[in-house]
Amino acid sequence: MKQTFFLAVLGVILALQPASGQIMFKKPLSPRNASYTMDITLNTETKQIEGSETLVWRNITSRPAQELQFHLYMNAFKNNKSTFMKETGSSGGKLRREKAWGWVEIHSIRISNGPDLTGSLVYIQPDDNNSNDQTVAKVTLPAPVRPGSELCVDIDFTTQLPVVYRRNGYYKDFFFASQWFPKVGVLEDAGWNCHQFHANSEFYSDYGVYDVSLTLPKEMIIGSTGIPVKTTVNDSLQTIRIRAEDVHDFAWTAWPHWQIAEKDHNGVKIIHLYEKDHSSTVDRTLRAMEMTLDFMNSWAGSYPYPRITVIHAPTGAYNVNGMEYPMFITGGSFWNVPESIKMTENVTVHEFGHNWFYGMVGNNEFEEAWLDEGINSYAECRMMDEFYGKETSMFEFRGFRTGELPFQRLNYIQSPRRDRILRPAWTYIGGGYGTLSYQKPVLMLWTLENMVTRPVMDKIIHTYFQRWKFRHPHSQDFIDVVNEVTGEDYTWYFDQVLKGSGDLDFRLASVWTGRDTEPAGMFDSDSGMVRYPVENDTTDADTSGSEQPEMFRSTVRVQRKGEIIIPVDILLVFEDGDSLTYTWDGKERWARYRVEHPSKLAWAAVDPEGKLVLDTNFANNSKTVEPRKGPVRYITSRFIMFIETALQVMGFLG
Amino acid sequence: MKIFNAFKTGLSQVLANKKMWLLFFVIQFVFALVIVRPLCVGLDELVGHSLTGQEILSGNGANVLMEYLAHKGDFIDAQKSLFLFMGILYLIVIIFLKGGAVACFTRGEKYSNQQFFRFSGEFFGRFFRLFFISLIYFLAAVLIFAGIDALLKTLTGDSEAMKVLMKVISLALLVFLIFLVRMAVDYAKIMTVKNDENKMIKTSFKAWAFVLRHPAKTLGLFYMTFFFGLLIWAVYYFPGALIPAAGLWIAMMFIWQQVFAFMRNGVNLLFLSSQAALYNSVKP
Repeated sequence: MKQTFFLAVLGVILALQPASGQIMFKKPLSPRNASYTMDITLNTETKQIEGSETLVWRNITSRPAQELQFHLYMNAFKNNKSTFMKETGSSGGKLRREKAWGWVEIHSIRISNGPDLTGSLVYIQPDDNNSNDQTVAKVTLPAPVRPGSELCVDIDFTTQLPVVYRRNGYYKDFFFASQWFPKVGVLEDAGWNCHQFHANSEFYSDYGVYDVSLTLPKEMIIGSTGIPVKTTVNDSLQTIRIRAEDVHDFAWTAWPHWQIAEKDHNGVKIIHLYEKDHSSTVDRTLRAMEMTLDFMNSWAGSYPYPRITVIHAPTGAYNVNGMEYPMFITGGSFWNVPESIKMTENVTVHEFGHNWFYGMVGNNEFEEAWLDEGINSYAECRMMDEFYGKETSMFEFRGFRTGELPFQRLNYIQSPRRDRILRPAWTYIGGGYGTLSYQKPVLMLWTLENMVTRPVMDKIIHTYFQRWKFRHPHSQDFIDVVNEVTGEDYTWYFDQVLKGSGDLDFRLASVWTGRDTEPAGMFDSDSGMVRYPVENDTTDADTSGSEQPEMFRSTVRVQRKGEIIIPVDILLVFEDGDSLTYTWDGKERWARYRVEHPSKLAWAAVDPEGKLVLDTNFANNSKTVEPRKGPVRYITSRFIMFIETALQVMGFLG
Repeated sequence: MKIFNAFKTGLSQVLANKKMWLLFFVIQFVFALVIVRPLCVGLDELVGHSLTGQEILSGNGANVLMEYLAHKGDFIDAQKSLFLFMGILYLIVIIFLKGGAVACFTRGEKYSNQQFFRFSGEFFGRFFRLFFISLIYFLAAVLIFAGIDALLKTLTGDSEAMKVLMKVISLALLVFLIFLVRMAVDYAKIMTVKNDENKMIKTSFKAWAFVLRHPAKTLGLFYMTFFFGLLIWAVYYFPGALIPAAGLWIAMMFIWQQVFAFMRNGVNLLFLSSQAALYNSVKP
């Protein structure tokens, strides 16, 4: 039913389109210096994409270009000696078992109406000199392309899709194509920036217009970057022309069994392609998309495209789930996944959020992955908290619940000193990519937010997005925006957290409280020196001191266990409800606070409001004078029951 | 009718042997106390003087658990090792105690310390051998499950709903097979006591033969006892879920849990006593 409706709507749209194709934006949003016109055919038998592309590339740097460099990322799946395979430690796995490797081959490359460059094409390995890796190639140009000049190149190529492997490939009659065509690298003033395909790295490309004519069997339903502008059917085949503007990548999927749900929201058509078994999460997915659109529109800036497509890959092809492409994302779900587990919502919010940070702000994910993964994960935490409650935004099951932020933090605090955030994604120590590109940046930004306040942080993000959309910013550009918006220099913070590998851990080391000692010794008074304590004769002694209210002396010692130096609040709370707050600059390793107060100290806390979420240990941030055994008893009693149950099962079998 | 009579007889035997029942409960409780010690100490170190502990009582225990996982890895390691060691020890102790229980129930004798432990000692070696034999049966059950599970997988195609359904079916089958093995081993124990059997492999075959000759009675009684246990669980669970995590209620919750653990041990004994009664009534 939904499918029929979709086709009808599509027909109306197509009828209204001019043959020349729709122009999405009257004025380009980006430099559009790398645009592609493609004519490709999907062969569902051989699982190959055959075709040609015409690349129009403009040199927007200040230096002439002597050569062109291309991503040929499908070659990461060509054999088990590619850099990707070596870094993942894979011997080929499913690709090897099913003899279903993936590759891309350039048959010819020539300057339009000009010389053939095919003979000059060589594979290069700028990152690791792995001669088996063919994920980057270059061609030498007969004449340099001067700054501001344009070059038009025709490329004939064939892409062999692998069996579904790492966000790519086919499974039975399901097809998913990402990183699939020869794509030009990014020329910077410093030279070509065109990294090999690594286990932990994703995208970096220039913006342009994609005009793709895709021919495939007519029963196929497709989802992709861009919008379809024309469909022609010829016997058993259909050719769909798709256009995307001001994007830096193009991905697509085709499957005859897609179910379609769609919704118009604030001028954006949200299309959801899913398999039948996932119908229970359709509304949840669409709702998450709508909320993300609203939040990001007001928080960062408007989503300018008229459409976004989100797919949930079918059973057997889960590997393509959880990835971002311009105007097109892959989420993920399972049959009847309970609403209390926010897995579907989480991945939807995250991947759609990437259309702002990755899609529109196009930083170099190879070299500064945190700029999109980190900022987007921070956005995801903010959204999940706002949409689903900060204590339940991850899951809530029988009273056991947690929010997105604590969940992100868990990963980081396992090994907080593993490495610094700022380093190329493929050079992190094993397992560090996730922690250092996602989780630590989330905590870094959340801590920053707590220091500068949420409205100021929102202004930072807004300013950063508006200034850098459709461009390629670096970390320093973000820091510059922070300093500009706050009016303060936060370089000290980023030097420690972004560029350093130290951790942050404040500890409330000790608390002591007790009655002030009785005065003893010689004290001056109006009538001369008096000895304390006064013995026997109380009449002559100056006992005015005894009329003073009883005082208690309390001592609190705080410690900076971690390397990161940052100002922090210290709170002392007394039994009568009074409290005292100090701010410690945290520069020394420890500080001591001694106070006299009419009441005993009840407890003390460092960072009492939990602003420093980068702190690796929250439990040691406070100390009570009297023990608080209730929670320990509660957990212990539950655990005893759990152990008794386990023993019962063992006894049952014994 | 034999099933109901056996159940009734078994129930009255358990009720008549409350000391034995208490012994099983106390031993389980003591083992649990020992195993829980590292967690108790680790948690006390972590939140015993910290405001963070309050999060546990306010429903955010998962956050504290994360702190525990991150900062008390040494306690978790100790916990795992201790659980493994104590678990094996508990299994041996239970095999020992079951000798006394089965003998008391099969021979219709009332519990006395001397008698109970004499029986326990007398049958421990044989029951221990029987336990190792039962491992082969359990392994066979798992292999049958794996085979059927693989077969069902081929029938599911790519439908997630069917995959889940088939997994539920195959897991239900696994539970059934495990229960079946446990039941046959129970009858082997009863036969060992009743007939003073010494050859345990042969006795286990006899037990299987008994179960297969009387499938309705043996399975009927086993599942009647099982559902009786489920009923007790339901009575425990639903009110238990309403007890708040605060102040004296924590003590209430602990007591309620231990009442359930006590009842559960009774059900475990009921399996033995009712099956002994059934065996006595079926086999002269």
